[in-house]
Order: sequence, then structure tokens, then C-alpha cells
Amino acid sequence: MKKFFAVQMSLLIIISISFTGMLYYTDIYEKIQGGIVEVLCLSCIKLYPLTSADFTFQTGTGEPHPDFIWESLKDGPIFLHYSEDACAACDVMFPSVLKFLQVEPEKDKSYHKLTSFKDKPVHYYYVYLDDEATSEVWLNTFGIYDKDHIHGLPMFSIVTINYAHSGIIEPYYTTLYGQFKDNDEQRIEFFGDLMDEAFVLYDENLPGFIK
Amino acid sequence: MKFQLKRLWFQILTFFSVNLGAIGLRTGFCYPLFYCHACPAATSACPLRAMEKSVYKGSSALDQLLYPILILGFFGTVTGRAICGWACPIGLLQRATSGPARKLKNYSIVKKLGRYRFEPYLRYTKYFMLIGFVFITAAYFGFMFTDICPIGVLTGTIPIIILEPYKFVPSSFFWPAIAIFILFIILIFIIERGWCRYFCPIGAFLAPFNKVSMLHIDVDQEKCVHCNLCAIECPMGIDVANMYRDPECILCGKCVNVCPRDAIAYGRF
Ligand code: SF4
Ligand code: SF4
Ligand code: SF4
Repeated sequence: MKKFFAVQMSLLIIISISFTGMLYYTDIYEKIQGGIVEVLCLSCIKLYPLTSADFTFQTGTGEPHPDFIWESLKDGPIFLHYSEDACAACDVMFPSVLKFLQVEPEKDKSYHKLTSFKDKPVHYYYVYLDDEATSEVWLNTFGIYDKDHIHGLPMFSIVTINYAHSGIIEPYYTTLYGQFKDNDEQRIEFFGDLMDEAFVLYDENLPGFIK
Repeated sequence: MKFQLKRLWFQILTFFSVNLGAIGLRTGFCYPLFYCHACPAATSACPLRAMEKSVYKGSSALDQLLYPILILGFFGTVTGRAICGWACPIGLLQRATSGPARKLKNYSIVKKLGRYRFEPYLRYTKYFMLIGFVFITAAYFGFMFTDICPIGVLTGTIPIIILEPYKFVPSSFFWPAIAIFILFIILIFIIERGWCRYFCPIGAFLAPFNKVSMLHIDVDQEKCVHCNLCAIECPMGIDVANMYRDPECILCGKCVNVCPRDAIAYGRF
């Protein structure tokens, strides 16, 4: 009886202290909370999303576009690619994006390159959410460009510019989620069509944007 | 109110509380039971998913490993596997499907099968599920239990298909997961608590805590006349009269209620 009581109490004390410590000193609570709505992660629900590719000015969180986006847009449209650990669909989509933009990020490291599409400059940002070296500003864009408030991975955003009703030329973006199309060729064609659309808008609006 | 009715109410209440995400409550805790965080109404996260992620493809995210272990460990230490008998929605589901399984038990062939000596060994399958599919395959091959989890299909995939059919089409894991889900449904209709007995990795995690938990079931051997009514009633197929802190016991209390000699009781500490 005494032995049991001692074991139970020891376990409870160890568990309670460790648990409180984790809640207090780590960001585990937020991490787990963020994971709950990762409903489009194929590893979780085995489903492909078919989200719309419409462009919009409205950011996912209502926050303004970060400075590095405004800066990068001076060179050309932006391709943002989000991924994380244990995401089967991220692994499937990864090589397609690499081929599409001729970039070579390591799968588990955030990365940036000024690359090109049809010989025109494109900023490629690879944001690996589980890479601890990823800057807060980059991580924050995962919410900002979560157009449909899905919090799903992988996520791809294409940011260009367009004339807003405010009378200012502003970032204009679309976001795609999850795994789509059957093979690299089809995905590259799909991304390519969107990029063409992004460049048409970019070229039309560039004079007003950089003035 | 009768004891088992109280338990039913508790299970129903828990079912609603794990689904409070429907009214916007999303916590950063892991469930200490089996429920999928891909469920549109989920209020907490699946502990298995956090464990898998912690070791996925050789990574070692200690925080994600420790966190669900501490949550499950807390409930395990205090109540043992009572979570299974009193709270888990999959336990509630199996309570609802236990009728046909109980009827089947009357057939001599089923009785025979149940008495086979290998039956207790089959129960180790759940430990293999936990170690093999939650940890080893996730760490070495990137294949995870939650890729094909039937509970994920039931509480995540199916509600999403119903709620947002226009948004989704099936992926590569969809059909294997559906096949396993169908087997799961068959299983729970033909064997009472079949999933909990043989396959559930969370049950496997909680089971050893019965050996040390504060709450447990005690059998008074002095009073027992070995009528076996308790074993017949037990949904986990335990030889109750001879058990001592059995890892399979879900503390449902059915044996306590049925014993004509009041030989069985909940024990504390
Ligand atoms: S064994 Fe698993 S499915 Fe069964 S009640 Fe326990 S947690 Fe739920
Ligand atoms: S029901 Fe009571 S008396 Fe009968 S075998 Fe079980 S513990 Fe013993
Ligand atoms: S031994 Fe008793 S309390 Fe435990 S599962 Fe069986 S009937 Fe329920």
C-alpha cells in the first residue's frame, strides 16, 4: 500500500512539474493548438483539397503584407512555399516546385532565392515551419497568406501586384493548398498558368508600383 | 440513477466536450483518449499524431513526444484505464455496438475461439501498433499510424466529406484507410470492445498504468464464490475473479454491479 502510494505520488509530482514547466517555458501549447486545424494535411485526413486559385488583396489574418514582400515585389512576383515535418503531401509536391522554379532548397531548411520563370525574375521563399532557424517574419506569413483560413499544408502562395480600389497598387495574391494534380508535368503547367497571370498583372502595374 | 446510466451520461458529456471546436473552442492540449484532431469540431489534438511527428523521419522533437506522454501519464496515474470506460468516444461507440457481439458470444464456435490460448497473446497486438506504427515506421519510413487510422476516417475524414464535399477528393491513403475502417466496423460488431482489446495504441499506452493507478478494481477473494458472473459481464473479456490490477480493465464497473456477493469494488490508492 505504502509502496503504491509512493509510486503514485512520485509519478504525479514528476508529471505535474514537467507538464507545468513545458506549458510555461516552451511554445508547445501553441504548436499543438496550431496542429488541430491542420485538417488538410494528407497525413491527417487523406484528402486532397481543391481550393480556388482566385487572387485577392485581403490577407488571411487581416494584417498588412510584411516589408520583405513589398521589397521583393520591386523585382518581380513572389512564390511562397510552406512545408513542415510529417506531411506526406508536402513530400509529394516538393519536387514539382523544385522543377518548376529550378531551385534547390533542402527539404527541412527554410530558403530564399531570386530565381526566374520564363527568364523573368521571381522571388522564391521556402518556409519550413519546423526549421527553428526560420525567422518569425517568415513564419508569420503562413497566417497572412492563408487565404481560405485553412491552416493546411503544403501551402503555396503567388504574390503579384494589382491596382486596388484604394487607388494604390498593392500586393495581390492567391494561395493553393495540399496536393493537387497527378504528376509533376501537370503541376508545373498549373503553377505556370498562375504565374503567367501573375506576370500579366505585374507588368501592367509595375510603372505605378515603383514610382 | 443507476451506475451504468451515470457512466453513459458521462460518456455522452465527454463526447460533446471533445467536440467544442464546433463553437470555436480550440485548446493546445492533446486528448487523453482517441479522437482525431482533423475532425472539424475537434477541440484538442490527437496524442498519437504528436508522438509520430516527434520522431518523423528521424527527427527528435522531444517536446512533442513528452507533451502527450505527460497528459496520458497524468490520467493513467490517477484513473488507470478509466478514460477508456468512462470518457473515450470510441469506447462509447463500442458500447453501442456491443449488442450483436454479446449475442454472438452464445455461439459455441465463438465461445471456443474466445477460450483459445492464443487469445491473450492477440492482445499484445496493440503494443505492436503503438511501438511499430506510431514510432518505428514513422521514424524510419515516414509511414504513420494516423495515415490509415480508422478513428481518423470516422471522426475526421467522414465529417469533412459530409461538410465540405465540394472541396476534397480522395488521396493515396484514402482507400487503404477506408478498407481498414470497414474492418474496424466489422470488428466492433463481432467482438465486444474488439478495437480496445486488440488494436488501440492509446489503450496500449494507458494499460500499464492500471498496475499503479490510484483508482482500480479490487476483488475480495474471501467473498468470491467463483460464479463467474463478472467475467460474463466484463466487456473486455477479463477473468475478473482472478484479476489483480489487470491492464485490460477499463474500470467500467459492470463487474462491481453484477457481483451477487459484493466481492468487487473500486479501490483507491
Ligand atoms: S482503448 Fe482506445 S479506443 Fe478503446 S476506449 Fe481506450 S482510448 Fe478509446
Ligand atoms: S461475480 Fe463476484 S462472486 Fe461471482 S466470480 Fe465474480 S467476483 Fe466472484
Ligand atoms: S473487470 Fe470489471 S471494471 Fe474492469 S473492464 Fe471488466 S467489467 Fe469493467
